[in-house]
Amino acid sequence: MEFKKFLTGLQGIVGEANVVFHHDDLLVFEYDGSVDRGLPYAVVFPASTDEVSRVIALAYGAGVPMVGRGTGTGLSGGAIAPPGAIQIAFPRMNHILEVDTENRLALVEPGVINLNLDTHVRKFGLRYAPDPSSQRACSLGGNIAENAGGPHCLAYGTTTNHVLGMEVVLETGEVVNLGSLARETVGYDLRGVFTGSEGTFGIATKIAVRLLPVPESVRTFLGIFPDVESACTAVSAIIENGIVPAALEMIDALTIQAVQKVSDAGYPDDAGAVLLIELEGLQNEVDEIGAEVEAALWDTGATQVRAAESAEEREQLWAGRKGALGALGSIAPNYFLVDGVVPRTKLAQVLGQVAEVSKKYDIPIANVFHAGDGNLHPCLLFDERQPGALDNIVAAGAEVLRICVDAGGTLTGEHGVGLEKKEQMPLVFSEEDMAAMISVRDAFAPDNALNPGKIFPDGVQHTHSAHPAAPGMTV
Amino acid sequence: MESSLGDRLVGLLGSNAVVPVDGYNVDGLTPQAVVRPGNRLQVSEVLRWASAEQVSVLPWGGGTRMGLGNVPRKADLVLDLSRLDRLVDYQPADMTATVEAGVTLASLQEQLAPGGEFVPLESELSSRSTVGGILSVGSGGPLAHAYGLPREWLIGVSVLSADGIATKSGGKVVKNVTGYDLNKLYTGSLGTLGVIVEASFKLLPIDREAGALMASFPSLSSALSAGQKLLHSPAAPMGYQSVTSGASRRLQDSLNAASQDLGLGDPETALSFAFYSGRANATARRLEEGAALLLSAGANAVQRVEGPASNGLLRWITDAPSEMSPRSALMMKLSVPSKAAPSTSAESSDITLFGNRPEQLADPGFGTIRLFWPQAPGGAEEQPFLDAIKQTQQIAHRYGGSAVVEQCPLPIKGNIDVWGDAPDSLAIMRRIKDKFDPAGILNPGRFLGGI
Amino acid sequence: MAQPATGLPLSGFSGPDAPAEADLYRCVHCGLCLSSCPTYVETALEMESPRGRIALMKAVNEGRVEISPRIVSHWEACLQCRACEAVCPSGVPYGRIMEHTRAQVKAAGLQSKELRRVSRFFLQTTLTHPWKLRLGAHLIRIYQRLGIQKLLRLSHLLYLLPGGIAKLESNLPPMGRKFFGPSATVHPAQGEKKMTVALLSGCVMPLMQGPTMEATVRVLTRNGCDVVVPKGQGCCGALNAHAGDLFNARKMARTNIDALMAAGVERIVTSSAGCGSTMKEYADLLKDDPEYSAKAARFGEMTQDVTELLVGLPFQAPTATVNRKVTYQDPCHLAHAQRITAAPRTILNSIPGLELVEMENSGLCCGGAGIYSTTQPALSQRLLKRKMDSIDATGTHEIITANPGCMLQVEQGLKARKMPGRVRHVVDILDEAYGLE
Repeated sequence: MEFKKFLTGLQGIVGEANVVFHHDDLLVFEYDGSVDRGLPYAVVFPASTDEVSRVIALAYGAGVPMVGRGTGTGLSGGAIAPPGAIQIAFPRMNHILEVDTENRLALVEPGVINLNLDTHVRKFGLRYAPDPSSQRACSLGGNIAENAGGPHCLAYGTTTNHVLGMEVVLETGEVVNLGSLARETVGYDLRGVFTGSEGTFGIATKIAVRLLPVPESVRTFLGIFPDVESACTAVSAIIENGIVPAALEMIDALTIQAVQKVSDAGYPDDAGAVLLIELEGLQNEVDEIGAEVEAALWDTGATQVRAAESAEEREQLWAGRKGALGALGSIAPNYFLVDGVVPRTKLAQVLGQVAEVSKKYDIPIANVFHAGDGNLHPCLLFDERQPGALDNIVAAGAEVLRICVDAGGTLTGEHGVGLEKKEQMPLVFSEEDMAAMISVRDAFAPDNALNPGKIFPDGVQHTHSAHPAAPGMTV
Repeated sequence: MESSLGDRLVGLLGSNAVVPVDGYNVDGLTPQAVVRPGNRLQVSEVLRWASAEQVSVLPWGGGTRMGLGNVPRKADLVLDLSRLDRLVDYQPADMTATVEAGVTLASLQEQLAPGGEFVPLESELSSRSTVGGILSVGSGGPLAHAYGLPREWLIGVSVLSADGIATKSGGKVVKNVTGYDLNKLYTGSLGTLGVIVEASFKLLPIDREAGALMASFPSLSSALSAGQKLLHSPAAPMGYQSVTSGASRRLQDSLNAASQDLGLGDPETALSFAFYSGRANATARRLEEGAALLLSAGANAVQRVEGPASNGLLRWITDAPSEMSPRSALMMKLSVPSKAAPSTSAESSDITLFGNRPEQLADPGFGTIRLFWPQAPGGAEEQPFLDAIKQTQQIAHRYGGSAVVEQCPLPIKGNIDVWGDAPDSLAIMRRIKDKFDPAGILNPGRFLGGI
Repeated sequence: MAQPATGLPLSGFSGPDAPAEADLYRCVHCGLCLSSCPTYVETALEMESPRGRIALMKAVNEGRVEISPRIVSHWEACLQCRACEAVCPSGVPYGRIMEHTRAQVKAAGLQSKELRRVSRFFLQTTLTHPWKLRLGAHLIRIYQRLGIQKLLRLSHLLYLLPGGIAKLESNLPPMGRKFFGPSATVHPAQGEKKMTVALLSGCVMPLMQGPTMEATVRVLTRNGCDVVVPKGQGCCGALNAHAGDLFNARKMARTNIDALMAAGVERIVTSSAGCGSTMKEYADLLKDDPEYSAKAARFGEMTQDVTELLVGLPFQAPTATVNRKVTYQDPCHLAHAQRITAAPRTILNSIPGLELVEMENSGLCCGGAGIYSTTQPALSQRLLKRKMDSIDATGTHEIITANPGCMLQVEQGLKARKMPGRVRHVVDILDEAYGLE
């Protein structure tokens, strides 16, 4: 099909103003929060399920690959346009359609911002638990695609534990409902396997999520430790005490320095590690467990312990953690975030090995992570403008992942495989494992027209510049 | 004449692995052979062979839920996995455990207890139910409001495909988005996509204190609406179950002393149970506030049950459907949005079978309602069953839920899809089944839509 | 479809005023700025987000694309409210980058027609010459009294003032009956003298909000400050800098540094948030000026917003009661650029009887943003609508803020909606409370 005709078709569906195709505009759709880039052919903003379905059917018919885009905060290249693909984005489908307080669920469109949903439902004494660090900006549709996590997933699980049902559009434009508003459904758990399928099965157009009651009491503790090892011991001590905090986060020395450079989060300059622990529950529950947590922190060598209960104070304790990733920009312009997971008992050992990788490759590595569930976030710091820097980083990142896998862990805890880690998949999964996965994709999307080239190894390396024109499409 | 299936299996695995077929009936069908492999490799060999020979395979755990699902199209070979019962890996500090599929839930909990932890799976007859079976069924129990379904706790699974190839998904860490989440696909697939041989779980610490409230209400509907109030309060329990008086009769026998103050004489009376656990102070506060709330919400009387007695109560209510089974002609399980539980329950109570209303076991928090129509003399006529099933399914569908026939006379079972109407995603499910089991040998016909 | 200009020689930015690479590449495109950006919140378009605008700057810088009218349109749609800067975890100096980018656009002659017009008739011609502004204001005052519409329509005088008034001449903000201005007078401190401060008179404010300027003088003297309003000073140059007219902005900065520092005061104070933020950053503006860079740095350190100064003194809490409900609108250049949100609230909360009802998204720009309401009327009006909805929801009829641009914009919003209410500066209500004692 001629590109112009295709474009006219898209405009006919969503209106002229809702198709971006000028090169200058497309430049802002070529990135996400990670290092990969890919210029889409066009970006379409549908306003309804029907429009999504028609857009997809048109592109499918024209042989144009497609990818859904939330707000581009992903960290694995999930929303990066594959060569010649159009992006379908949801700024116009950003409505909270219904909050059902009795059933404790919300029905939302994919473009709803995670924090906006949480803020909205808090008016009813409810909350949306998954809270990725980008929750201020990221969308529910993207959360579904990546099965997003966040600090509070330690106690409440990730996105998949909070999605009840959804309406999705398949690669042909067919609209199908998965799951239901009831907690238990008959048949295969398709909404379960759809969640985290990184946009390769379909595009969700309506999402029903579970809401939880806001706890009576929340208390946050901040422990300052001389080194990462003692902080890791504290993590074990807390867990061994039969405590599952709502969140249990760690920041290492290099990250602390970066945070302090940008704004004073109140961390001492010589701190080796900061541990953040949040407890939720009834007042007397939080009191009792809080005392145990404080004792565990002191016992394992904390040099300072602070506690906060008011929302404002808690915000202060969290500020450094929440801003940590971005603060790394004050050390180096780019970071490559490795999302490996290891068993909790291997944290200290693996962090030691990561430090060796840092030395070997001469790359500063900052650690800021979800210690409670062993989800590391080593950030490899670099400057993409230096020739060869990225190749060096990719090699070091692969080594870090190998360390995680060797320790009994895996490649990614919450960011997804995307473009970034697809070549490392064989570290964890055999040909047969991946074949089983691909056969599920084949059941949803036999033609692989949605977000092709992601997740599974295909030997194609990172792309950092604009893609060439799509094959089969004349400009 | 060709040698029997059993003989050929003896040739394949040795005589130890092949056991007599007695007691292995599925929906009245006796398999030609039963094989009980001693390790994963043998399971793989059986499957590879069965796949090549077009022999249908019915995976078997503890055999407690083999009545679930449609009548199999073919039942050549039962694959008993009970010898695969090792705890493979357990690190208390990681709060994860990896087990073989044939281990029973009770045995697993016993092995985890010294580490101060447990796996939040719930199942009837836990001393017989195996982990593999629980995953295949995918259902929860009385504490589903707090723990959800097995899908929430499974972090990794090793599966042998229909042709015996080993695959895995997930891993041994508690947070993992590497590759597609096939754990979710296998959980609740009733063994139609592969044979689960090993599973890894996220664990929880055993709570220090446990307690329960037992309350009698003038009616089931008042018990359910009180339950919803309780579940939406700060004194929310881990689970809340209400039963009709007929269903609770056996409980009255077993807990006679405890329940005599509850005034359970009236046949309209319903009994509710609210289960709590946690730290001592918080549990005490919840029990106290919960009791007051139930009284103000219309309970006739409320009783506190503490310590081990509350665990006994929980076990009784968990096993209640199995207890009810021999006396029931028809058992159905409805899953609806929690808000719809009271009306679903009320409307279902009017559906009679041979003049009998159903006894009920209802969970207004999770939205599960189980209906038990008692056996009636001369009740073999087909149409009344079909009518009752249809009416029940209509109610569930109207509230956006589903209704599954868990037990009914065999002749009727052969004429219906026990899972009810198929959702519009059935075509995708069929395609998945075709990809995973192209020869169609795994539990053929038992699943939704004849998968 | 145009293809990226890869392989071509770098066009990029050039000259001394190019946005610094170190600033640009500090952005790791994490996207955390998105939800704080008013134009992104309003349009949900990446092109209208801080991250998108920086990506375009990087693309230009890398020679992947040339500055095009389309790219300029996204840059010009930026309010320069700097809300993104306040939430940026990487500390990207967005305001500075955008000013330099606009300077590049201006140098390349690629400014939009609207911005060029406002630049020519207002920024470069009028603001740089305070007497012209005063003359214009006088004429408008006469016009408002006599209705000499023809006179105005024939002239370019409508461009003298911001606020979208060229299109809304019937809605022209009323000129103050009395203009404020620099003089040789020293307004003496009442009671014990704590310090001498020089007050920036500014451009628009003394003409349209003369009473607020007088109130500023009164609350300062009341709290122990000798106040001078030195002659020779002019407009702070903020609007010029924002529009990329760094040449004039620098000229104006030097004029003010000379005039205000010559007064030998301890502090330089302003009741205009926009001016304060620019004055605090004169050092940035004049960093390559060997004669002025050190002075500019000193000047920046001496500069304080009036609310900041008052709270730091500390000021005397009024004793009289003002039994009213008010809401507070955070001026962008106070809240985001200067990170001052507590001081104005401290002052309001100190007034007995006054109830402060917070509005939703107080820190989200009202769409005033200097000349923005004139150059981007459509987006400006959408943001104003959002702001008026938030104000409406508070149920208060008195909106307090701390910047002349916000005051004009919200006043226009009230008028357009026929909402009852009035807009006042923090010092107005503090002055009122003192007056009741």
